[in-house]
Amino acid sequence: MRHTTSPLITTTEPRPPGTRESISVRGAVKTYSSPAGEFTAIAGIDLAVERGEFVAIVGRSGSGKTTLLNLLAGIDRPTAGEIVVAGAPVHDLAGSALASWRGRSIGLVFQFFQLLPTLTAVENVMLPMDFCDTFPVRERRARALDLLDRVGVADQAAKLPSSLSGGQQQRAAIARALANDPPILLADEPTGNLDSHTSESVLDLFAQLSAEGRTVVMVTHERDVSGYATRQVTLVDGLIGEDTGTAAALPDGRS
Amino acid sequence: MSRLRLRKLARDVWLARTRVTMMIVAIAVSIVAVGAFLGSRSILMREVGVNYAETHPASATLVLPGGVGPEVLATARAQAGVTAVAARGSVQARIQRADGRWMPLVVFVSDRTDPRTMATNRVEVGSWPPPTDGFMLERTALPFLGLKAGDRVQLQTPSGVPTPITVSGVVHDGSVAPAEQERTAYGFLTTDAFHRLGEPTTLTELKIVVGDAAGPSGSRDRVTAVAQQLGATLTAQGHPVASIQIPPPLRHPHQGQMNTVGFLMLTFGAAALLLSSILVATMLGGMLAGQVRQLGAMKAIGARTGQLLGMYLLLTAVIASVATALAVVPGMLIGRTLAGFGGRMLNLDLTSRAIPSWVIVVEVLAGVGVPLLVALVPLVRASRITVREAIDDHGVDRETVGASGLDRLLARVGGTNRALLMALRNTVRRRGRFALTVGLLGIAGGLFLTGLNTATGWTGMVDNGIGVRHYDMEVRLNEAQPADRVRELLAAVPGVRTVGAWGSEPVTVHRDGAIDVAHVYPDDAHGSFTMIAPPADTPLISLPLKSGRWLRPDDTGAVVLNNLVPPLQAPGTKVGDDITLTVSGAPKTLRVVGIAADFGTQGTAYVTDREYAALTGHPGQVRMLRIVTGSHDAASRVVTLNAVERALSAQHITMESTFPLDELQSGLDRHVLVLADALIALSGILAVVALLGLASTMSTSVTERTREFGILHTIGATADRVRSLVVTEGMLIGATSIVLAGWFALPATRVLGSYIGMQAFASPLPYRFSFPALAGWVVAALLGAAGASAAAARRAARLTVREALSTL
Repeated sequence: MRHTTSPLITTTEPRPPGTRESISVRGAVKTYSSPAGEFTAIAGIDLAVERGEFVAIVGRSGSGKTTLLNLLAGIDRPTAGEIVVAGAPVHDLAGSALASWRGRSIGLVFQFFQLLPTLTAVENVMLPMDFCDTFPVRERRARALDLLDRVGVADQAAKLPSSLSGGQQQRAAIARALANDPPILLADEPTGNLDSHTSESVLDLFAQLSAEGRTVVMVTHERDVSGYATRQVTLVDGLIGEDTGTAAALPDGRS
Repeated sequence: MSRLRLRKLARDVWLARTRVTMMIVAIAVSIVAVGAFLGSRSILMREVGVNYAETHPASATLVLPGGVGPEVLATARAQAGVTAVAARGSVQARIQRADGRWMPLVVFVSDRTDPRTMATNRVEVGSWPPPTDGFMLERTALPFLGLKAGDRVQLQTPSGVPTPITVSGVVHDGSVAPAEQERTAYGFLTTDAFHRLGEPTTLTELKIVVGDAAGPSGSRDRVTAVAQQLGATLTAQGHPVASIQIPPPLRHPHQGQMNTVGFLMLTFGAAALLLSSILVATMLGGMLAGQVRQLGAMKAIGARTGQLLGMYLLLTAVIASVATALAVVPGMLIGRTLAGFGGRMLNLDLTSRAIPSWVIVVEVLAGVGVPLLVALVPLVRASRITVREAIDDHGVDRETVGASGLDRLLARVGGTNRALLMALRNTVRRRGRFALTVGLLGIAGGLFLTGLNTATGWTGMVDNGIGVRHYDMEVRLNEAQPADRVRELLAAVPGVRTVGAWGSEPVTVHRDGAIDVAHVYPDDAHGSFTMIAPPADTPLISLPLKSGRWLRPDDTGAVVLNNLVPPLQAPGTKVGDDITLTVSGAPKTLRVVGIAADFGTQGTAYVTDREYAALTGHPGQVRMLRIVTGSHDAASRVVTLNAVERALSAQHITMESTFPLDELQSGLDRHVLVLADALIALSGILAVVALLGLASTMSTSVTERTREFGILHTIGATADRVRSLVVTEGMLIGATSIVLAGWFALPATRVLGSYIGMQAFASPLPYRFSFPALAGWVVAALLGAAGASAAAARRAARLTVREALSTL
C-alpha cells in the first residue's frame, strides 16, 4: 500500500532536478492502419510543456488534436518518437505500469464526462483513490467531498450522474480527475458538450488549476480560449502550425 | 475488494437484474439437472446392488438331471470356496390371466423345509411356505396378470394339465426384471404344490454361493473355477452335472440398461452445464459489452486489469453460487423422485433415498467452478480492454468489418428491403460473439436433435425387431412334436394361414474337459442361448446380417449366430470361426457363416432344418411354431391364438409359451421406454438453455448498439422499423443455428446410437433422423428467436435519442 497524505491540490510529482518541463514530445509520429490504407494523424511533432502551463491545442477536425492528447495520456502509442510525461517515458509503458502511472500522474477529462452511472458523484471521485490506493480509506470520502466543493458541486455529491446537468457532470469529472492529485490534467473537448456559460466556468476552473501550478493540456474547438490558456498550439495536418510559445506569458506573470 | 467497488458491482447487478436473473436461471436449471441425474443415478446404482444382494443370489446353478439329494448337498458344502448351497428347481409354466389369456410363468420351486437363506425373496403378503394348493407371485406380476392375492387361477406346468391354484401370497424379488417388461410372470411354490401340478418332486438345480468371509465373489473366473471343480467332484461321485449356469456375478439382469441411462444422464447433464456456462460467459460478455466505456473510464482513472478482472470474477462467482445454492435442494428432490420412478421401472425397493455427499460436492464444484472457468475468457478480454478501444467501441470492430470476404459478399447482397439487409450485415458484426451464439444454439439444437434421433433410433430398433418377423404369433412346445402332425393340426384352425414348424432347443458352448457353462440368469431368459432351425429359405424371418451371409439350403455344418452370442456366450467369435455347441447332450462343431442383427430375442444359433435333424438325430421334430394368420390386427391374432391353443391342448400337446407379435412388441417397447423418455427429457432441458442464450445475445446486441439505435431514430427510423430490425437479426441467428444443429446432429446421432446400442443391446441402434424433431427445432428456434428478441427489440424501439447518446 502506498498512501500519500497530501494537501487537497499540490504538485507533488517528483521531477528531474533543474527542469520545469512537465511534458516533452520529441519526433512523435502516429500512423493508423485501416482497410482504406494508412493514415498519418501526427506527422512529427516536437513539443515541450512546462509545469503550470495551460496549453490549448486547437485545430480543424482531423488535424490530430485528440491523437496528440491520447499520446500524452498513453491511450495511444506513438509509431515513432518519444513522449515523456511527468517524468515517465509514456511510449515505453504498458499494462499495469501504464494504468498505475496514469492513475497517479494524469487526470483525464472527457467531452462526455464518462462518469460511472451507477456511482454517485462523490463515489465517482473516490474511485481513482480506490484503484490506485493513494489515500487511506477513511480519508477518501472527505477528500472527495472537498474536491467536489472545490469545483462547486459539493451539494450534488450524493446524486447519480443522471441527475446532474452537463456542467455539473463535467465539474464532477474534473474533481475525479484531481482525486489522486495528479500534476497534469489532460482534457479532450471538455466544453464540447456544454453551453457557453457553463463552458466559461469550466475554462475558468482549468485556469485556476493552472494558476495553482498544475499543468493543463486541453484539446478544444473553441476559437478563443486566449483569455484562459497561457499558450495555444495550433495543429495543421498532424504538424504544429502555430505555437504561441511558453513565454506567451502565464496569466499571473509566472515564467 | 473495497466496499466502493462492491457497491458498484451491486448496482450494476441491479441494473442488469433481468440478465443476471437469466444467468442464475440458466446455471440453476443445469445444476438441477446435473444434481437430479447424479442423485438419481447414485441412488439407483446403489439400490439395484442392494436389492439384488438382498436376494442373496446364487453365484452358479449346477443342473443335475438325477436330482439334488443330501449327498450332493453335503459334497457341495464341503467344496472349498462355496459358502452356501440349496436344492431348487425351476420350469417354464403358463398361467391364465384374468382376461383368459395364457401368459408365460417361470416357476421357482424349493422344498418346504428349505430355509431360503440364498436365492430368496421378501414376502410382502401372506407367509412362506404357501399351502399345497397355493403359490406366491412376484409383485410385478399382479398388475401384469390382473390378479390379486387370494385369487384362484389356472396354472399349467410342462408335464401337467391346467390346474386351479390360489395366489396365496406376494413376494418382492429384486433379482428379476418387472413382469411388464419381460411379458413373463414369476411364481414361487413348494415341491408339494409342484407335485400337485403334475411334476416330479425331485429338485434338479444345485445352487451355490461362491465367496469367502468377506462376501460373495464378484469374479466370474473364480465362480467358474469353483463350480467346475464341484461339478467334476459330483460327476466322479456318480451325480453327473449336465450344465452350469453362471449369470454375471452380482449384476442385476438390467444393470446394462441402468448403466446406459446413467451414462446418458451424465453426458447430457454435463452438456447442459457446459452450455449454460457458455451461456453465462456470453451473458457476462454482453453485460460487459454494455460497460465498455465504463471499463475504459476506469482504466483512464488508474484501474489495472487485475482489479477489473477481480471485480467481475467475484460477480461471476456470486451469480454461480446463488444459482448453485438455489439448485441443490430441487436437484436432490427431483433426483429422489427420478430414483423412485426408476425404482418402479426396475422393480426395486429403495431402502434409502439418501444422496451421497459427493454428489453435493460435485454439484457445488461444477456449479461454481465451470461457469468461472468458462467466463474467464470474456472476462479477461473485457478487463484487458484499453482506453483507446473503449473510446472507439461502437459495437463493431472497425479494423475488421468491411475487410473480410464475408463482409464484401454481404455488401454486394442487393434488394429493396433495407431493414433486412441491415439486419443481415449487423448479424455478423461481432464475429466472435456471432460464432459463440450460433455455436451455443447450434450445439444445443444439435444435442436436442441427437437426443430425439437416438430415441427414434431406439423405437426404430423395436420396429426393426418386429419388422423382420413376418409372422403373427409364436408358440413354443414343451416337448418336440412331429412337424407334419402339427402343421396338419393347425391348418384346420380358423384364421391360420401358414405354419412354420421349426426345431428349437437350448444349447451351450462346449468346453473340452469341462462342464458347459451357460451365462443365463435364473429367470431362464436373460443370457439364455437357443438353437433354432428354420428352413433356409423361410419367408417368416429376414434378419439383417452384420457380417457373412444367411443360411443356404445345401449348407452343411453351418451356423448363423445372432449379435448377442459373441459378446455374451462366445467372446471373440466371428464369421469363419468354428464354434462347438452342446446340442442334445453331445458336442457338435459348426462353422460360423454369418452374424445376424436380431433385436427382441436372446442369444440364438440358427441352423438349417436339415442340419438340426442331423445334430439331434430326430428329423422332423419341432418345438417352435411361427404362425401367419389371415388378419394381422391384435384382436384377430388373440382370437386365432386361443383357437390354436385349444387345438393343441385337445391333442394333449402342452405349450411352454404362446404370444402374439403384439406381445413381443409391447415387451420390447417397455425395455426402451425408460431410455427414450430419459433422452427426450434431457433434450428438452438443453433446448431451454439454448433459448435463454438467444434471449441474452439479443439483449447484449441492443445494449451494445444503444447509440446506433439513437442515431437511427434521429434519421427517421420509426419504432416499428427498429423493432423489426432487431427481431430479424435474432431470427437470422436462429436460422443459422438450425443449419449448424442439423450438421452437428448427423454424426453425433451415429456416435451416440452406436455407443448406446452396443452398451444396451450389443448392436448399434439403427440410424434415424427424426424429421418431426427437426421441424420442431426449426419452429422452436425461429419462434424462440423472435420471442427472445422481442424484449430487446422493444427496448431498442423505446430508446430516446437523448438516452441513446448519453449512454456510458
